[in-house]
Amino acid sequence: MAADQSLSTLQLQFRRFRANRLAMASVWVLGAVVVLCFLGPYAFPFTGEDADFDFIAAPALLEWPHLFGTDDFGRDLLVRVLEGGQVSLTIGFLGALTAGVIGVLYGAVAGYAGGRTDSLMMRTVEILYGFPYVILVILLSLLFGGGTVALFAAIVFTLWLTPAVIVRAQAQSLARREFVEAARAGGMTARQIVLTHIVPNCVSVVIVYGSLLVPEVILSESFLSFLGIGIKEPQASWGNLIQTGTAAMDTDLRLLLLPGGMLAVVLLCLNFIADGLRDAFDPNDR
Amino acid sequence: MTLLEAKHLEVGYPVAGAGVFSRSVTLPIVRDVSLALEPGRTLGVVGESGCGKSTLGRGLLRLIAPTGGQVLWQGQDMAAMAPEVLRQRRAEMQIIFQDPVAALDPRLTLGRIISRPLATFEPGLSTSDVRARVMEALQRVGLSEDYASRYPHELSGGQAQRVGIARAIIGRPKMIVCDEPVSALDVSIQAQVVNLLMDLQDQLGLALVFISHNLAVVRHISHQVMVMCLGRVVETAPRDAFYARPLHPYSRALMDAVPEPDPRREKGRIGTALPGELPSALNPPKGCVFATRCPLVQERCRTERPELRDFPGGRHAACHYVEA
Repeated sequence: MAADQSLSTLQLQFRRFRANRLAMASVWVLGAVVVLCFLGPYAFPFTGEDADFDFIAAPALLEWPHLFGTDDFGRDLLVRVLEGGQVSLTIGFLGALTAGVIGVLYGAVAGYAGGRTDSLMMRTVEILYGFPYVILVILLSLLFGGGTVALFAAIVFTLWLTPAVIVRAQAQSLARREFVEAARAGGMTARQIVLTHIVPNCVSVVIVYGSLLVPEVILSESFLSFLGIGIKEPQASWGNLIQTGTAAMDTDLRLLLLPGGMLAVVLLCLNFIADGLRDAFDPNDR
Repeated sequence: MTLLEAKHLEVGYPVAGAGVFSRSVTLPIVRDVSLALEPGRTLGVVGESGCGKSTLGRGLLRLIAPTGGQVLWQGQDMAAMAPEVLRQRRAEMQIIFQDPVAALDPRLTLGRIISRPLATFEPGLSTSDVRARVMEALQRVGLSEDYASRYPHELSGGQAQRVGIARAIIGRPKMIVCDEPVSALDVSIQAQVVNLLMDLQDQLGLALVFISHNLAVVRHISHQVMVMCLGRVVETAPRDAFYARPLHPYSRALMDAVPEPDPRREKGRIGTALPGELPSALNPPKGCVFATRCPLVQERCRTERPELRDFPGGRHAACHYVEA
């Protein structure tokens, strides 16, 4: 290691991640998809909800303005996929972030507190684990009147449990480390210790898990929209686009391939990124 | 005034009871320990692994709440202090650890690690004052100022222990509990760290509780020596008297177990290891804690626990039969 500058472990891990070509390529591809989804629709003179009655079920001829053709209602497929991507990616990242933050804090508190508090908190998690997912989603959609909020709540509600369990195990072993004892001898409160020592030291584990959580959220959204509980027509999401595509699979494969392909690309990228992060954070490789 | 006083201190950990729903029971690791420490003095605590030395150190600082007895800090009962008051007074009583690298948070720079206690103990300090105090602490432990921006994984064990000491002294403590501070270090580094602690004791008037299983190191640094066996004190004595002639058979066994540096003299000594089983802490012997392994054991030792008796020269030993 160069002696000129001191590097934190985080900086070292970041440097290792950057050396991983596949993961870095995935970051660029994913970035491109995100930019495309959020800026792309502005390039077209119509939105994904505008029907063009001159081109109904137009094929994918790569001709302006309907590059990938239109669906049965004359809506532009590409624009719909891009707009659906906005919804899916937003829910994916926001859901993973929210679930991750809740899970990390919950797990860190339980693991640091230990004893009775820990038992109580983790038994609660186990009970919630046992709750049937789909029923919960249906209940929440009734409660919030369906739509994005209910979907988001349901996804976060089920997905924060696993990070909580992972972080709790990590926090438990950290709580016994001597630097935590030193912090208590230094007069820090439990809250300060959790926030300055426990949580930052759990971050590497959680970042890896979080990058796998994003595809999980996107997939749950697709799954729920596919079941008809999630995002509703005419609003597009990758989930309901794929659902429509599947229905028309026999006659017109492109309705399935375009949104499905985008989803597959994003999921692959996220998995490669997760892989790269895991390798970069692996303590056995330090 | 006596700086730190423990009266019949008992420290234990909860262990799960037998059944799923049975209450957890407390397993006492340290039993009935009384001691007093004057400012600027060093108490050496020795004993074999698992005898409760480290637990005693944490009990004295109330890092583990004692399950019985009292700890008085400058005459005040620590159990009676409000949590907020105790947090502030922790500035006066610090600890350094056996594994010096594990005692430093790997994600923080050394400057932040060393300065962190000041945020609690002296929250009014300006950034430049904090910086000056960090530099002063670094300089006192013999590290250059540019260490402040480094990270723990760049340090050797000896350097990490110096950083631990710097963190301990930054709040200007009156006492430091040293929990096996040199046992994880190379022999060549051990002497440096011990001498550093002794220099700091002179400069800052620190009292030290020096926990170790290394009798040679304890001899070097201590004024008073306390020997523990299975959570109980079996002997206390001034340093020179203790090393001239330990009274308790357990202390003698500890002395005999020290390897001889001269291989020719070491040769004939094999076989001085204690026979007998180390009793389980869960089920300690009814009588003397050393009865199962003592070479001088009598019937009375197995049934009746010897109290600490006074011996001439300010010594105490817990044995029925030993004579001064």
